[in-house]
Amino acid sequence: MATILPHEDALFIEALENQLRSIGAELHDGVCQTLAGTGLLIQTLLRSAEAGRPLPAEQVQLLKKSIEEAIDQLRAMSHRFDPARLEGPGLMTSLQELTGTPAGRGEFQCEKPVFVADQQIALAVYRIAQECWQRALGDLNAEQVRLSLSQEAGVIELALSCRGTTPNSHELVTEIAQHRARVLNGEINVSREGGAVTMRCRIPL
Amino acid sequence: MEKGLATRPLRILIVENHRDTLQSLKLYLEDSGHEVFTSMSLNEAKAVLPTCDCGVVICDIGLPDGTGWDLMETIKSAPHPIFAVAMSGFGTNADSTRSRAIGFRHHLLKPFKAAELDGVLDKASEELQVRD
Repeated sequence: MATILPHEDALFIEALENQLRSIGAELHDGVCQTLAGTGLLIQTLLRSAEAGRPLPAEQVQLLKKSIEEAIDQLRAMSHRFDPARLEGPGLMTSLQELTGTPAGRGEFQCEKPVFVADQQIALAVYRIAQECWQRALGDLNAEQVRLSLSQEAGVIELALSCRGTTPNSHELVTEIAQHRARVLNGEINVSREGGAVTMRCRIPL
Repeated sequence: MEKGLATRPLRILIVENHRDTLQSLKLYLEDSGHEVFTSMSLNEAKAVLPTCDCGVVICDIGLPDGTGWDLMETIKSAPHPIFAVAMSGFGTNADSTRSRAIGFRHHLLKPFKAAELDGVLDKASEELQVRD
């Protein structure tokens, strides 16, 4: 007989499942595709080698490119799961990297340098950005997403604005992101202006 | 005979918008002895298909300007039978069912290995030979 879980426990389990599914999908559609192409190239080269034909430089070059792409994809994934250094200027750098993929659909703005000494706050801000970013570009298929980071009067503010989609606030911001902000006495608000929906997360430093 | 080489060279149109996947597939199929044509979008495929006299179409489902399923109408209107193969990525059991329902002979789940592709093309070759 199924046990009825308290609301928050159920949310955490759902979030965990979503995250695992998202990792599976990213591995499958990203690096697995690249490695499948690598496999075809190796098969082609192997046929040439077994038949005693010279290996075409163009194909070897493609093979090299394919392996490098797989390494880049895995490295980028690894950095997203475990952002190495977020304290000091690290949060700005990591958010910049986050908005670089996929190319052409996002941008990062940080008019004045933001330095965060507290690793726990930096990690929470990064995860909130990451979760909303994935929601905006993945599930909601936004055409353009702009992320910005600022700091004023002892408060750090992360804003994510997306165009090309009209999500409801609960669609853009995950329950887990809300929870991350609350744990640090922060808050998340969502507003609409024109064709854009903006999420603002404010956390006291 | 070298492993994976075509017993009967086919004319194959690949429709795939991921450039590197397209290039790897093209090289592999050409090296297998087939004649290969390529398109990177649905509209391009609709334009190429009536002119390339292909016996086989291998078409990605997720294309920038539509889906691979939208190509079926053009495939069915060809003057000769075409062995159509769909391919798609993650979580696609429903995709596979839909592909078969609308007339694709096979649905390849990406990423696939060379042997799976060879198997599908052997089947295509047999069917096209029977029809000829």
